[in-house]
Amino acid sequence: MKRQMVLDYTLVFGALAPYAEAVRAGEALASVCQHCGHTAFPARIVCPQCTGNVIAWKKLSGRARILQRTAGPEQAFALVQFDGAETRSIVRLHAIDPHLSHGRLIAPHDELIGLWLGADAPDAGKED
Amino acid sequence: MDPVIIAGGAMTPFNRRKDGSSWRDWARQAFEAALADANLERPDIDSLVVASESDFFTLQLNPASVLADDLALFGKPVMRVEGGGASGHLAVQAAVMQVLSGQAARVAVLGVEALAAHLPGATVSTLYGLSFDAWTDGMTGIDSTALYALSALAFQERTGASESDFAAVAVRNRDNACDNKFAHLPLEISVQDVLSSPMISAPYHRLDCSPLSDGAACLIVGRGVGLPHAGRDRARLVGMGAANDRVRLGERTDPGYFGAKQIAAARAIAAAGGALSDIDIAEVYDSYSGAQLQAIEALGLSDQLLADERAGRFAALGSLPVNLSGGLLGQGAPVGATGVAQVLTIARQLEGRYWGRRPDRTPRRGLVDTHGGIATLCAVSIVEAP
Repeated sequence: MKRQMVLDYTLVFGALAPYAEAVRAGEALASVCQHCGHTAFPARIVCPQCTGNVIAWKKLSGRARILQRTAGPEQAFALVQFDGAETRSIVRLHAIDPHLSHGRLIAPHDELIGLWLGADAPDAGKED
Repeated sequence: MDPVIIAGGAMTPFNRRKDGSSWRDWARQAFEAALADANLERPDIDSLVVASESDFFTLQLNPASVLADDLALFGKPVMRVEGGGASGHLAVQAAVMQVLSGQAARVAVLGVEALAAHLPGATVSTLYGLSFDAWTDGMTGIDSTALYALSALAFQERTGASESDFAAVAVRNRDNACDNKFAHLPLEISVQDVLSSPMISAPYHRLDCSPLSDGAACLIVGRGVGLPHAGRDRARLVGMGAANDRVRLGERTDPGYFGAKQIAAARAIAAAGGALSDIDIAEVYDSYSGAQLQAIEALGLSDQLLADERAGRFAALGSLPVNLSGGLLGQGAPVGATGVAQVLTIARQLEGRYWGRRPDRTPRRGLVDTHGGIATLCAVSIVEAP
């Protein structure tokens, strides 16, 4: 017997909504702990360093250094360090040559809020 | 800690079921076989702990209530434990805590998962993308293999481990599985076979990856006069520990190091007494070939990892056999059942009645290691021979 279900979720990001909205727009909005200054991207509401729970938002340049990259037949992902962030991030690579060491955050090419990294060019993020 | 007896246990074959049986059948079969192995009857069971990773795989919320009913266990404390890939092992630890607290004398731990037969593999893979932080890493579309691959690359960069080292693990575990009648992927393959299998996410090829399996496993733990012969002829769980790591790989100091395993192992050894050097057999969580080496490193089972690996120390005839069941790579990985089966395997090895490949000398002390996420929730237990 076959049974099919479709789940129509509405995702709400609560305290992380500013981060989510920025990522949708291709902007890197980090959290900065107001107690110890730890800058996290992706953003965190509770600081992993000092457990402080008061943060401010800080827009980063969106430029990132690629530390490790993996590629399969269809998609490529990387562990990167965004300039100005003290944490590293998992990103999906979009049209970045394997020899490039840096990229820049672009707006996701789907309806989600994953971090996508495009080529580090002035017009990156504006084109599909 | 006070020892808790592993009074009995059983597992079903781990494979892709095509025989019309259901996950509820496998659970019942494992439970009834475990009861028989323990020489106990249904009314002897004081409590049931169920391990199952996701309701997506069974289309059954609150599976513990349904399984307890199927097993005709009524008026008992019944709970479900979930911790991703560590669900089964964490359920064993929860059952041991029930025994140690005095709330139950005989607890059945029942792990089950239907990963292969009910859903297409691509759907399962998509669901596993929710195993990590679904709002950040998961939103990129990354899957389990790619995330493990990024961790493995960091491990390779730091240690010098090669793709051939990883492939050798995949070959050995599949070979170990050839003696395991319950194994999903018993294969006689070569390192070259692994390296030439399709690339899934570099450095991982298809044969570096564990399969999606169906199956169930059950253990009965307890203590005291309520057990046949007071459990004197059965292995004893003498130490356990658990620890978590940061869920996002990018926030870890070293993305290639499974740090929470080190903490969990230290806690387990502290509870058991003795030292890690006393361990003479282990079942570790090899969801991917490289993850086995990462686990051995973090657990502290070797201080010269690659030299030991290349010298055959972790083979059946080595001084520290690892994953003689075949591990997840060879035996298979029905998630809720995986950790339960790992503990069962080590218990049977220590009792000298394991059904598969055995070391050339009877081990006295074994270690079981399981994790969920990418070594995010880690559980380690120490088991001793009777």
